[in-house]
Amino acid sequence: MATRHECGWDRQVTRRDFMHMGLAAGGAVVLAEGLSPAAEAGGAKTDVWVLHGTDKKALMQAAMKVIADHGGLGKDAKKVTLKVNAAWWSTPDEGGNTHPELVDAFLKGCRDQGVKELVMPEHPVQPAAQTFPQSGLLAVAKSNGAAMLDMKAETKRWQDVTLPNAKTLKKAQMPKDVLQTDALVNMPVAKHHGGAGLTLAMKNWMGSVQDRRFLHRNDLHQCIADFATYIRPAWTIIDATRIMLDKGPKGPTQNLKKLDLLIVSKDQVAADAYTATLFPKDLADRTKYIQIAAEMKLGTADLSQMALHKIEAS
Amino acid sequence: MTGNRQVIQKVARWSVRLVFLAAAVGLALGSPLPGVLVRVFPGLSPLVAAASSVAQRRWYLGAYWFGPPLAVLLLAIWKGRLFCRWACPAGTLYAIPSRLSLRKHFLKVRLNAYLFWTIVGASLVGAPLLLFLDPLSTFNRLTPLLTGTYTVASLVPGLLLPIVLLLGVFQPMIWCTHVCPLGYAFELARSIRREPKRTFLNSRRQVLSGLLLGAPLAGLTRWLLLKKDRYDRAPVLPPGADGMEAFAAACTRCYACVDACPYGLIRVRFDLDRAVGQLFQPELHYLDSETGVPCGYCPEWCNACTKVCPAGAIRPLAPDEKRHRQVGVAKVVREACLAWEDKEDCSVCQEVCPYQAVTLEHTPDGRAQPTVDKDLCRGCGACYSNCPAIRAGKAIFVTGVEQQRQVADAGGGAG
Repeated sequence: MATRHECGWDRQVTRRDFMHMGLAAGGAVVLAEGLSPAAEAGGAKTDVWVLHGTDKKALMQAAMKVIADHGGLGKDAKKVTLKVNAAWWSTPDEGGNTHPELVDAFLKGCRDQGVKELVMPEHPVQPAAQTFPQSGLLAVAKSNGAAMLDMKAETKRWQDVTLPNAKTLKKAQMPKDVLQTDALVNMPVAKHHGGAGLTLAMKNWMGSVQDRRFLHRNDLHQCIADFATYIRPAWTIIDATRIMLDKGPKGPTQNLKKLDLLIVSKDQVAADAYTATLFPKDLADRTKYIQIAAEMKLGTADLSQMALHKIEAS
Repeated sequence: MTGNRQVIQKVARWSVRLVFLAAAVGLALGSPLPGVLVRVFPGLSPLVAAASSVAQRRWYLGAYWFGPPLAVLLLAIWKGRLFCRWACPAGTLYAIPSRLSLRKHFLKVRLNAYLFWTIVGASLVGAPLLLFLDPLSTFNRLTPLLTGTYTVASLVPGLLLPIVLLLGVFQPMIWCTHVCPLGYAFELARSIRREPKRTFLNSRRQVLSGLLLGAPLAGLTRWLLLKKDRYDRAPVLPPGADGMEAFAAACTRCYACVDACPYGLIRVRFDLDRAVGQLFQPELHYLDSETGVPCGYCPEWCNACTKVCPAGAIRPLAPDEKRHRQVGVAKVVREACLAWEDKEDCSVCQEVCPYQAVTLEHTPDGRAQPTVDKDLCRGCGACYSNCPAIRAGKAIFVTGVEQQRQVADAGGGAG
């Protein structure tokens, strides 16, 4: 069943093969039927792991164990593409970007699982020359031999794609490495967002699209949900170690809440829906893309349909 | 003196000259050298340093940048025009056509003394007119051509140098001997030391006429040429500028700041919406007028331009001071705005504002609509260059402030 390959576990073809197939067939083959991982598992609940721990390294190691125990990054995954958030001139403590200690442990975990090529493409909002070092992410990418790509400069790595099942965002340019990889992992930071309500996993794909402006002009929430019709990460790992409750997406804010949580799932909609419950209700309600994605059957936003596994990491 | 020795001296002088010329070009090019070094050559002029300080009624040079012009002045007291003949990069260029000169001496009157004393008089009044004639600034004015930061408008004041080169074909060294106010200052420095009384007697006419001309001329200029009461959109000056009028008067148009801006935002433009005295001044432009593409914004971590002004027109600002400097104020045009008019979920201006100066009010159905808090806005242009609106053009614009000021950060915020 094609959808299974796409979601990255129990694969007969590699993700790279799939993406090529998908592109060749306009994606229609794969995306014709319902996409919800829950539906696919035959009505079983969607797994969402909620890991807690103050030590970020131990926290991510626990997450990597969850991943390894549940299909890992896929059989023989040689290339992993990691989408972090490194869009802002913000220090790790300010919470504007994914925390570098988490990324460090993730990259090391990938190496332990035999991954050869690690790529981190990012289309930052502020200049990469400042955001990449300031976020602390450039340093951990370098120390782990991962290629952190500034998509503003890597113009040749953009690729035209059509999103056949999208309602609004029918065409876009996305990084090659997001489209062609053995395992795609999304690791956003959860935070307040003035316009969208919250920045969560699906919103993080805005850092993987060339023309963000189109989205702002054409129903932002629908466009964000449209990402999920096409970009199907093997794993979503949401950094909720500290979350901005206001002044997002850049901050800094004094209302930075320390939660020490990681939310891990194969279902990006479920990961977003659960993470949204960690925020005040008005912000969660304003984050309309979650509901839209659920209505498009791209995942589940219904907490009662989720199997929540709470894990204490230490 | 033997002919041999003369040849050696000539070779030595040209070698030194070419080294200085190469150094001036090299420092202007910057990379791999620190960008701040672009100010070294225009900053060598003791005339600019002294006249600007007098005009601004303050000593704006820090410990490091005070040394070079002082050294040049001491050199002049000791040896007169030694700097002109061995180091001045403009002088070196002017010497080239002069060697093939037709020797038609059409300019008989030496204007340099009058120009010098006019600068002195004007500086006393507070507007150092004619400082753009300083040869080191004149030379530096062309460096944006080398670094690619030039605009067509920046080349107009840059024409001074090629025009003088051309005149040199007719009258050798016309600039250096007959016009250059800096060269005259060097001569004066030396002759005051050697024959103070004769110097005074010889030059009293120029002193008097210069002072008498310069002071009222500067007053008139301030009144007529530097002031503009209404702008369609007031210019955004580089951070550290001290008011519209003072900036226009103090800037020698050396364009060191144009070279120094790592983001290419400081540009020289033709703009009819300016007073005459503001023409060809470097300003912050967030939109490339040729391509219509936003150039970017003046980021919160950068104070490069504030470190390079040899004339004190842009005051040095520490990074933290720069971060709090208001150079302009943004304003939302609601009719063009995606959030206000088109009912879209757009809040890009709020997202990208480094100072949290864009606040959002939420409509009952949860849409956010932006407003600028003008007590927090620095006028950096992040909102403007990122605004995705196109239906009726950009929906947020930055207007320069008459007087820049330091503004406080946003509070922590509640709820």
